[in-house]
Amino acid sequence: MVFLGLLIVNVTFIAYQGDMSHYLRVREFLKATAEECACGAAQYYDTEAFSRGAMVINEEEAEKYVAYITQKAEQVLAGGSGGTLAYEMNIEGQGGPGGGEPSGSPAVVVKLTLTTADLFRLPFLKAEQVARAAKYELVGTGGE
Amino acid sequence: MKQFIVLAAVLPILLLFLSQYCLDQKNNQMINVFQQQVYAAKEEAKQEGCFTAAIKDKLRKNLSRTLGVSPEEILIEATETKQYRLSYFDEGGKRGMIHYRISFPLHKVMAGERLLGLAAEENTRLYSVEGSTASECLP
Repeated sequence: MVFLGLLIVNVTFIAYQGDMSHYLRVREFLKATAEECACGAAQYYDTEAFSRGAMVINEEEAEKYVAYITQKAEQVLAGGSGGTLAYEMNIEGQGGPGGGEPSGSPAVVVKLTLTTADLFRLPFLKAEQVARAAKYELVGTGGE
Repeated sequence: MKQFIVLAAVLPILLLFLSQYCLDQKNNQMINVFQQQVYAAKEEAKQEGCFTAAIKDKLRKNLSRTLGVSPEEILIEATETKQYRLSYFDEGGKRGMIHYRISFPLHKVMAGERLLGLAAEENTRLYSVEGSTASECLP
């Protein structure tokens, strides 16, 4: 009986440890991917605005890049936890479309949300959604 | 005496869990170090435009030293042709993009391989980190 008790405790602990490590790795991966998305998206700037001395991030190209990286990340995750990876991209600190003057340092904010099956096998722990965000700011480029 | 016999039978099984716990800790630490070093190498590759021989050598040496595997066991499949920064995104993901897949063998996944009758090859898993990034190298 004591052995059975110890066995259950040990199996529970090993399952928890393995799942927690996997969960932390997924979080780390999503953070790195979000940083990659934000950093890469920020380098697609509007060349016309740049010729006028303003740094304006090209939203269309940035969105294409973020969608591509997110899709690749989803394929990588399919080999492990699987699930659906959604992104949300916002560009802050720049004027509206049509060449408006930037109001400050432009920044790209990317939030990734992974919706998956429960990452923990133990019934009393649940994690079906993991979200990480990153912001990349081009400091000192938005003004005159 | 009866209790001693039961203990003798049960103890190895319970010790197996303890060893597995320690091994998992070690393996997770190795994976963390691996991920960090790959991401650091990727940042260097972004500046250079591709995974140059120097970046790959440095990564191999660092991983070999920290993970205790031989440099030959570390597999690096990455863009080796210089890519330049573009002001638009190439839909095919070829121009201006650096792709990489770096793997290393985790030699001991399960503790007590002899007790469980596992061969060394069966107890080895290849752990990979892969991704893509936009080059920041200017023409």
